[in-house]
Amino acid sequence: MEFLINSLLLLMLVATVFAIVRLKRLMIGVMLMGFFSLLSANIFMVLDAVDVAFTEAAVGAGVSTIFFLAALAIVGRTSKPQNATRTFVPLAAVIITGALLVYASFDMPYFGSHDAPAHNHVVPRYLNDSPNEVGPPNIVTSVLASYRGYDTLGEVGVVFTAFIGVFLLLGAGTRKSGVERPAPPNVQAESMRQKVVLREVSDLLIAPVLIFALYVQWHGDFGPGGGFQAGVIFASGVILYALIYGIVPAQKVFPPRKLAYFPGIGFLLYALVGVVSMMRGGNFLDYGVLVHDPLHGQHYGILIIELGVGITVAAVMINIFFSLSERSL
Amino acid sequence: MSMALDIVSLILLCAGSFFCITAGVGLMRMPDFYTRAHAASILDSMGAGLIILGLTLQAPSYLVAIKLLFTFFFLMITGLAAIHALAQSVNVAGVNPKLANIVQRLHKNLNDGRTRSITGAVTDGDNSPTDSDNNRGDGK
Repeated sequence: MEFLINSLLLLMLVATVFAIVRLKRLMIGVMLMGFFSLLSANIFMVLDAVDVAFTEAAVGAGVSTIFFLAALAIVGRTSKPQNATRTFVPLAAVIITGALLVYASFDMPYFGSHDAPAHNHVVPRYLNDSPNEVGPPNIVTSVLASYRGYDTLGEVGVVFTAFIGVFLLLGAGTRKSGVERPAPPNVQAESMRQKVVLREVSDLLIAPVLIFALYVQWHGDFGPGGGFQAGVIFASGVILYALIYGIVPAQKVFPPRKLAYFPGIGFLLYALVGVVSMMRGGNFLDYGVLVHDPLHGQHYGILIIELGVGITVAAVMINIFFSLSERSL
Repeated sequence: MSMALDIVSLILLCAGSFFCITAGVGLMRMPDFYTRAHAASILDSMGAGLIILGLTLQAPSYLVAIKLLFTFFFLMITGLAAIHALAQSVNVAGVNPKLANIVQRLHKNLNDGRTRSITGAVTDGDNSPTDSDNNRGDGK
């Protein structure tokens, strides 16, 4: 049964990819990419990787679709017509690379095999010792935040760097801050009248979305979730508000000029935990020395660094959305 | 008690699956955007809704049941609002329903003495969905 579901999901993935490649209309392509992410989330769900599925659904199907749409509002909806000549060399390159990848996959261990290196190297130690060494019931969180704390710091750095890139290319949403495209007043009233259902629904939804983000943030060490997912969910609540009520009211709540500091603040909060643990005589990001009981120290450390991750991700997402939508005004 | 729960949940699940299949058939077979949106909204409301209610009755604990009810609540609101927004923006962009004034048209056809079937009247003046896609103006 599981084999059937897996095969079906993978086939649908392949079909979606072909559809995306063949499409000329970018809008539909973006929608299909959201669908692709949702399918991947389903596959992760079947594989019991709940945290990854959660992230994929929130980031891939949720926020990145909105970013693509915001970018489409700037660049237009159809792809440029390509001249069909000289497609032989790219085709050959793709076929050779694909054949090499398929050939390489013969060396990989079978799906779900017991003697795969991934299951024998450090995973047994994580699974056996994590409750006594780190503590959280969700072992994914203890691996992500404690055993692999350096990697996660690097990931937050990557998110931060992406924000710097968008900041440099588009401005941090402050370029024409507060200047919305002046619309004739009757058009404004008309569009608000059309949005009456959306407004009611979003009024009903935004508060639960934000509370759910906080739940995911603080509950991440007991169940699936954590800073990355929580930041994205929080940002999607704010983005929903901006989509319905316009960018100016949203920027009144989150002024872009101040919000631009928060990716750095979250990143520094993470790194600061490492510095404090060094000052208390441990290694960098060794939370056990933060308070006298190592398990409590691990718990506090994980909570703080997840908060840093959440702040960075949420601020980056909201900032990128503001930058993109200010460009298209 | 559990027997009764099982039967009710079985009925709900079967009804939900029936509505899912109905919605799928409707999505493929309906003639224009609005009727297709209606079929899709059946998928969100009756299909998924009944299935979730049926699963709620099978839930092992109250926590799971409450989570499923939350999912039901949000699915109802968001799915139907999304379909509404889609139909609304298509309507604003100026796409006319193909089945507009179907009764009058059928009546006229009958008066003209032509023997045309209903499907003939429906596909009358058919423009392909790609045309109606191009009709949409600056939606944003």
